[in-house]
Amino acid sequence: MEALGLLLYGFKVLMTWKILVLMVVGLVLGIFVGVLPGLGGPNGVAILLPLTFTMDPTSAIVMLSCIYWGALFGGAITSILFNIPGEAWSVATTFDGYPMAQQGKAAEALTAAFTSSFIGSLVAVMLITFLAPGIASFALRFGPPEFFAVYLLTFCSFVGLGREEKHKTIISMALGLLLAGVGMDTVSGQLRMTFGLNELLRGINFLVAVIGLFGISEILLTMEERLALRGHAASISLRVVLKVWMEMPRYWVTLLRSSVIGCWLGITPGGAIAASFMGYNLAKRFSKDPGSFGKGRIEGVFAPETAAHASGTSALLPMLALGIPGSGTAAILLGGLMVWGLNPGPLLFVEHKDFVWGLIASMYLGNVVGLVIVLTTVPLFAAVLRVPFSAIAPMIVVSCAIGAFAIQNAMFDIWLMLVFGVVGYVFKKIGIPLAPFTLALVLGNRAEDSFRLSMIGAGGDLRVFWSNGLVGTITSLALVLLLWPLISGGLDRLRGLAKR
Amino acid sequence: MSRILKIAVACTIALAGTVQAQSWPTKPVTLINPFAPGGGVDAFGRPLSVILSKNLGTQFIVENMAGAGGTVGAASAAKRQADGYNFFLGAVHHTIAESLYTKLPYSLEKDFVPITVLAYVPNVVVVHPKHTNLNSIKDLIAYAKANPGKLNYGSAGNGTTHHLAGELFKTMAGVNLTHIPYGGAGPMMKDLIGGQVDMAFDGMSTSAPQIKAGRLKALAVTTTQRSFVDPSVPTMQEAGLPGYVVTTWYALWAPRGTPKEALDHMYQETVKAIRSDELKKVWEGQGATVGGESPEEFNKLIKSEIAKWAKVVKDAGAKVDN
Repeated sequence: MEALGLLLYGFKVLMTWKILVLMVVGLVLGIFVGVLPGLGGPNGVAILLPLTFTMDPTSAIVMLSCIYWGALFGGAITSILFNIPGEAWSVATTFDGYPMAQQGKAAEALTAAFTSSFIGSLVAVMLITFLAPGIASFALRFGPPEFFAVYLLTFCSFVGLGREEKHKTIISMALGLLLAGVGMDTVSGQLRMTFGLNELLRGINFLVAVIGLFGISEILLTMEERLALRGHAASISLRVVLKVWMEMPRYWVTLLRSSVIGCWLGITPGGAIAASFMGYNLAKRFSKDPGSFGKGRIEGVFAPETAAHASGTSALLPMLALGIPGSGTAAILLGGLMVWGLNPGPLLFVEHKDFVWGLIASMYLGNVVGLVIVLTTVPLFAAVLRVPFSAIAPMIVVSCAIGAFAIQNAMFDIWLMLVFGVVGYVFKKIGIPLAPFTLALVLGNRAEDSFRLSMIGAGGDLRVFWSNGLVGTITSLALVLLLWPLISGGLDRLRGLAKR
Repeated sequence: MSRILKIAVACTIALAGTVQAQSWPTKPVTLINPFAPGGGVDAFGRPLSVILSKNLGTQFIVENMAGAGGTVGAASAAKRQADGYNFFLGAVHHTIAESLYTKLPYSLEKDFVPITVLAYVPNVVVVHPKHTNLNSIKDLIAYAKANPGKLNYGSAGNGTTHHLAGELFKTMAGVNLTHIPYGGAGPMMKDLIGGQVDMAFDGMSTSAPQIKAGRLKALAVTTTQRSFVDPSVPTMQEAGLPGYVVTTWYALWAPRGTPKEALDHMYQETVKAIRSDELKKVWEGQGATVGGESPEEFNKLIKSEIAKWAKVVKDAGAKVDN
């Protein structure tokens, strides 16, 4: 096993006090960055990049990638405690994580989120270790038609899932698609629905909308209802952690499925956001009791977190093997590589062995250390729920506003966040589900762009979505999922007829 | 005038000079970057901010205000206080934007004063190696003439240098290529080396490693001189399309009305920083050459670029009606 030898070599590169200290510093900084909504992994890494210019490349990449792991872990914390996604990919974690916190199971939910993140990431790192060069060329087979097929699959995995009335799901998704169209169109360069406002040229930022829809609206609802956060402080001990760990093996199918989805979408690069939604939706679809999702089911925390972390980690693979950024954060790390005097690209594995294998080894070590750090902070974060609402609510609103502002340094986004807060409140009051709206807002644009790029490339021929085995399989799978309610209904009826 | 008086006057002037020099900067300086973190401007602006902070003993902060091809940040920079504590990190994109957008909320020439160019990066014409018949610019032009619209080229989006370099090539070579606009240079590169896109007019820094690994074929660089990154690649002039010159450059401006003292000081410090060994290394790593032109020379560059791109935008019909 050549890879194992190289990996051991990588660990040897890491085992210096300097690097281990940088690792812990990076992780702690990353967790803070992840906890603050809006200030995401890419921003955190970009801001701290200049600090690394004087370091050697290995120390620099270890510190920066640890900021990234920390942000991946940290995103779940506010999702679970306050229904405010710290990162875009932890939106799906709120669906079951927040109800769990409300039922006094915040510690369980946090433990579940962190541990499943760790598992997802571990699977992805093993993939990088053993299959990097081969799997990287798989990424290259994904052109615009394949991407459109993946987005279609994500949308279709959503259909017929909710307990909500169908027409409300459709209204919600349509509104999300509408707002996704705001701003300058990538393909034609035309402006849509900007109404002469320059601030709208760049479109509606997904995170701004999500902070308002989930966070601000929750505060409004709580104020109206009883002026108390509905979370109960849970007793936290090693027992809770062990209890969750004992439960995990039962959900091995979900964990495995989410890991595979995450790795796939990280490498290709479809993104952690799509991965977390798809992981959640498919867990719900294949569950024996889909009705219990959204009411505080632990599986609903495992599924999106595993997928998001697997995707976030494997997004580094195309960067290492091909010199192509798999995510926003990877793009910034790529810029860092150039500044440190390394040439990113297909020859990186050959020319800079100690750097590449040091980084891969740091993914193992960083995730283990990260897990220990975040698990020890569970009692601290869960204790936040004991703070009276009148004290915590203003702090949440302020941190939401800072987060919304920090994304693009724009005052306009704070107003937008407040508007979305009211929209979210109204949606909850009249029973329109928020999930289809957020999904459409984040993926609508990309789905449209990849569809239109496919059409330009194929000269308007729809058969391009069945032009090879890969894209054909994904498209067909998406259509089967879309029509599944009809198919399964038909099958039930047939069975009924047969019985008679 | 007695000698003592002369000395006293000389001392006063000298002292006034030093006092003036020390009067800027006395508080943190903001460098507005109109693109997202990690983009091309960041790659030069952030290292520059580190060196300036070190040399001048005050913080130089890069503030990213991305959106609409860099015009959102430019509009904000134009409205900042012209007190010597706000500067603007712009690029060739802003000279393109002057003609690309019908209603810009600012004017590059009226609202800003030029300071200097930070870096020049050549673009390079790259094709996917599956096109074994395309080995030179002449091959490319001949093939494209025989098969109009069959070859496509990818860009980082409408109105980017990638896009307009392609449009300029189409007009000058008299060929037709299909434009495929992506939402950024990263996704475009993925499809380029995946073979879904035939060719691109990409930045040298991102293409060089792929060329070296044999995943892309370089036909020509778009600057007047060959790039030190890969001197074997001919210039467009040498390859058979004389007069075709496209350079991606990054530069520094200040809002108009900024005190002359701050402008002069910033110019000197910036030139000193970008010519230091530390930054030279960073620039080289990205395939860039160092700028440092005087404000007058830079102003000439701005005027000629605005005129050049206005023609390309008009010929390509690539207007954005805002």
